[in-house]
Amino acid sequence: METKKILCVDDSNLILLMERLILGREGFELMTASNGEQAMSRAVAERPDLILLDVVMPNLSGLEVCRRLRATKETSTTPIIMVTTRTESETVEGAFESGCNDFVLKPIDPVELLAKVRNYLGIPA
Amino acid sequence: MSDESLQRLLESLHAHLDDAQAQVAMMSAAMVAAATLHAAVDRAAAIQAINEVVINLVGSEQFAILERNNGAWSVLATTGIEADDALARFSVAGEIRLDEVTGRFWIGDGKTDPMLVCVPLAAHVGIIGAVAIFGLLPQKAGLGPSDYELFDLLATQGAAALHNADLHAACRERGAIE
Repeated sequence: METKKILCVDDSNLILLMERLILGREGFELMTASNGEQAMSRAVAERPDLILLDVVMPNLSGLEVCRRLRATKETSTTPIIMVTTRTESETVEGAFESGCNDFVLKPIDPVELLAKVRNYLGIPA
Repeated sequence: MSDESLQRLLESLHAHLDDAQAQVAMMSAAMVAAATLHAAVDRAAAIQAINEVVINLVGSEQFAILERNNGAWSVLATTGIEADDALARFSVAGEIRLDEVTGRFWIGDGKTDPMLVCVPLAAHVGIIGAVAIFGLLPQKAGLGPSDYELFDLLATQGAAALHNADLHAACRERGAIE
């Protein structure tokens, strides 16, 4: 089976390390970006199968990155899962309005994250 | 094997799987926390590392990191609470003490509840600070075993990160290292 590529975007090294631990042992090919600009360029260049995107980042927020990814031909249909600490309805609505497919809340539950990633990549549990 | 036995076996396997997944999650969080705290080379990075552990692994955006110098407490950093308020709520809780039976540190008299939890930062020189947590994120229903594992780790490794950062700075001042 073809190895699926996942781009993890977060300004927190701790979260990137956590995502690496959870997803790395499942055999996914992982790439990381620590800000919005990096995320845009890596997503277009590497064409990941799925993007995990932090909402709160300096300069370019996750919501803005999501909007730009959706407006970019190469990434317009790539599944995007937002990662956030916020549960307020404005944040959740804003995330979906920006074009994300789903979101996971921090602290990250490894079982929930894996289930959502597998679902969007079409991998049976 | 009867259907009933198979069903019991299946339920037992599911329970083991849930347990294993919880253990993996706990170990992953501990490993990530330790790696983050050990990577800090100066005081600002150590404080940021403690912040990241509490926000992203414990699940709180209402806490304070405090320091103890010559018995007096001061606030190093806060998230989601004013420093004065944090210090006031921390101060009414009382002295940190060691429970001889469990080996865990406690604060307060067990009657007042000014904080959700207090994690003393205990280096080999003694208690040099504390992380006072006043509330959890809405999606976090409460504290569980994995949180207490993290608190134990934070108590020693968080303190070590701060203490080592100070030692590093002192060595640099003396010109002992670049």
